[in-house]
Amino acid sequence: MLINNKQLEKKKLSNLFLNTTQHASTKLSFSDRIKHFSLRLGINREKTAINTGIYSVGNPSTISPVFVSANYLMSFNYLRSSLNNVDAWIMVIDTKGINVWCAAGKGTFGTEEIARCINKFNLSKIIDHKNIIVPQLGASGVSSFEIKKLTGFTVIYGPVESKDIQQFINASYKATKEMRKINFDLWDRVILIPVEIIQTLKYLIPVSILLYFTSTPLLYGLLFSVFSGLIITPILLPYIPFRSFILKGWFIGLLVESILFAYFNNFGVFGIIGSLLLFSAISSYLAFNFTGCTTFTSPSGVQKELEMYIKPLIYSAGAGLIIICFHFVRSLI
Amino acid sequence: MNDIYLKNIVTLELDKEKCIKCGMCLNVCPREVLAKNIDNKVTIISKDKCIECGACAKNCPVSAITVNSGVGCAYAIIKSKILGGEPNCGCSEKGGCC
Repeated sequence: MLINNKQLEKKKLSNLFLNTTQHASTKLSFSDRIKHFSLRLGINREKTAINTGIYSVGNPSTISPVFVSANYLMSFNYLRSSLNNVDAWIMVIDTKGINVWCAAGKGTFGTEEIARCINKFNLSKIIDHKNIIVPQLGASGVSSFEIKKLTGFTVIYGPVESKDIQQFINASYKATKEMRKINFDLWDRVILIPVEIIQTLKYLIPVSILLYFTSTPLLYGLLFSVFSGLIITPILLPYIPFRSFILKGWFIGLLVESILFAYFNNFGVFGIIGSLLLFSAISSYLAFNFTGCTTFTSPSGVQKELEMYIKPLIYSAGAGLIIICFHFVRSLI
Repeated sequence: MNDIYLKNIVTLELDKEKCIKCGMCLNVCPREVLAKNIDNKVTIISKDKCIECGACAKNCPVSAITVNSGVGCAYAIIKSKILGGEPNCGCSEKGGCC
């Protein structure tokens, strides 16, 4: 009887906390989808960060599971939309509006922030158990044993992808080997292309306008270098020879530019050689930047590539530029 | 998909003597780099697949695993080479993010 009273009291308390928690639907609205679209383009990222706090999904009680999420809109939305017909709590922590994986790499999705939120939002008063479910991709910022030490809470790592969450719950919070693996399929690569392109626009647009009025072959050369480095290379990534991203981008850049300048064959031999050197190097650099988007590159590897190939890359671009200038000066004389 | 990056470059190290067989590292590795041996201790099975995210080292209660982890974006590493300081992709600042 005593225990029952205690439980009842807890329940009342948790109902009280319902007022301080917000409700989250498992359905994504049209406006959510528009926001996802604009995030994929890299627009309005700062404005879509969501409020930190405890959210209720369905009709959770003191024994319902707690999922930890970043305050990046898409992280939160993917999580809540995968919790259909589940009663649960979501604790949203402050990652400065960055997704779980990137924030964990930087440490903002991390031990301290989780511990801070557990205390700040009085998690132990809302629930009866001492477990939190943290997305596996957050693990590089989170030390499970330190959280245990700091807060008494046990970290259970959830699956990599939110689509597996229901299955994970049904298997009494155990992830299969397959759920623990991160993939990088064609669609995963394609979806990253728009934001990469948008980020180059601030350089690409002014230079393109300049070239539009000066040299058509150079304008096409530039646009095709962006096309090969930022679109072709990511799409064909596993099928392009070489492991190094710099070499992959260079290879595709040379291939694409060769085809292009076979068409612009009246550009003169110096113009063509200079263009091939310059634009293949640009394609290579853009492809190299894609290492930041992949899920299979390592910082040591990127460092190594930089040491090995950055000088040849700069020489190629520099020589290309000089030869192109020479071509124009010569044609003026 | 052939998703192995450069070979023989990964800084991951495992001290088998220290391993207490808790298996936490297996839970957090997204790349199937680690596996349990017959004696239940963890061993590195495909080092070249490691992306140095650091999750295993961070979640090992006895510090049996070490790895130089960090921000892996080329842009961040180039910027830190030129301007000095630790690589930082600027994702929490204003502007775009990877």
